[in-house]
Amino acid sequence: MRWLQRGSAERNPDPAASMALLEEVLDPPVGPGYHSAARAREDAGLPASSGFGTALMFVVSLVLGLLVTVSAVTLRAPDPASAATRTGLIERIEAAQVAGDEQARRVEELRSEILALEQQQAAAESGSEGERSIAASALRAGAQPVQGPGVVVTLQDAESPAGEAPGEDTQPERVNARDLQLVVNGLWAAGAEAIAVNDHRLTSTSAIRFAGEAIIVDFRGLAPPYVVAAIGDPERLEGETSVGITGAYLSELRRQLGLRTSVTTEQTITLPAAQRLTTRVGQVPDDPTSTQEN
Amino acid sequence: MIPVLGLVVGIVLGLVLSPEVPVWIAPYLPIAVIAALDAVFGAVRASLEGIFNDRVFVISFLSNVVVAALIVFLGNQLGVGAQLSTGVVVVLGLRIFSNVAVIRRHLLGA
Repeated sequence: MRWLQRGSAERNPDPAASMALLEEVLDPPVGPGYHSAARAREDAGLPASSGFGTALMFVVSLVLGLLVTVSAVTLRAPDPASAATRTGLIERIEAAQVAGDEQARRVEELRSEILALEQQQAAAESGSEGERSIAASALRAGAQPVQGPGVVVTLQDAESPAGEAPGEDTQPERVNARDLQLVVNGLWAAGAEAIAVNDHRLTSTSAIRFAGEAIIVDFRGLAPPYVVAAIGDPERLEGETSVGITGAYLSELRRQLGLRTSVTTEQTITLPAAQRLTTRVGQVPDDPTSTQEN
Repeated sequence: MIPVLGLVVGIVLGLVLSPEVPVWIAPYLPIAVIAALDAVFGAVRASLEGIFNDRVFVISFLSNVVVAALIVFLGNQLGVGAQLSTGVVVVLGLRIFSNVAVIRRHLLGA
């Protein structure tokens, strides 16, 4: 221990010397290089300071500005990749919105054009007679709501069998598109004038399809129960759906598969207008008489 | 006047060119900037004390930047890059603050 005491006594005459590091940190001397360089210049008979106006200073400050600017530009964007993705997505969303607005405007335009053309047509066909003709065509084509007596056929999936054993997965029988097609075709055959399935009016372009587990009428999925409402001669429609082929088919569905079907006759049924009446490819032929030849 | 001109030219060049910085350089940029700032404040203080020398300034500037980048690089290689970067920032920050304090005393007498 003696060597330690003697050593420290010899090296540390100043009691505050152990604070040298802290002092240097808190109040550092200006870089020693500046002092020695200044002394060397004074020895050579030059002023202590070399001044700022040298080419070297220009180059160094240029590098400094470049460094700071590049750092700021580079580090400001936290993640260039995600930022680019985000901007890309925003651009796509905005483009899609603009396109959507454009389409909506176009739909509005075309609607008003259709209205104007209809009115023009009606005016050309000498007033009220023309309007009557358009109204009658619209009624037949399904462009107008229609009201009258008829029958309502309701089809519903079979109930889950009671007393099912746990874990046993027995799917109840479901109504499928073929059943609906048969019912609708039977109603047309029995002289129905207008038919709607779940308030979707059937037109000359309608299709009843089966996609996955859903029945689709005119590209719209339906949910059970399926209500087929038909306007026509009530006696013929009722006969078809009770004792005719459709009726036999319905009772077969009830008996064999447990589907719940019912037929009611109504004095007034109101069917809505069809939602899709456009033709995109078909056009009116130039010479209407030529259609007879083929 | 000359340093200000160089600074402006450098900033304009950086903004106009906005060079693509390679990803591996990015971690060194903040440390390099702080090291450069330390050299700049040391130079300002020396000039206020009348002993500024451009060669010393250039050497201190370059060595500061290079040494700071080296320390960060070494830390990255050893797996303690974040801690060493913090150490460098603390030391350089202290030097900058105390140099600014001296500069303030020279300029404002307070």
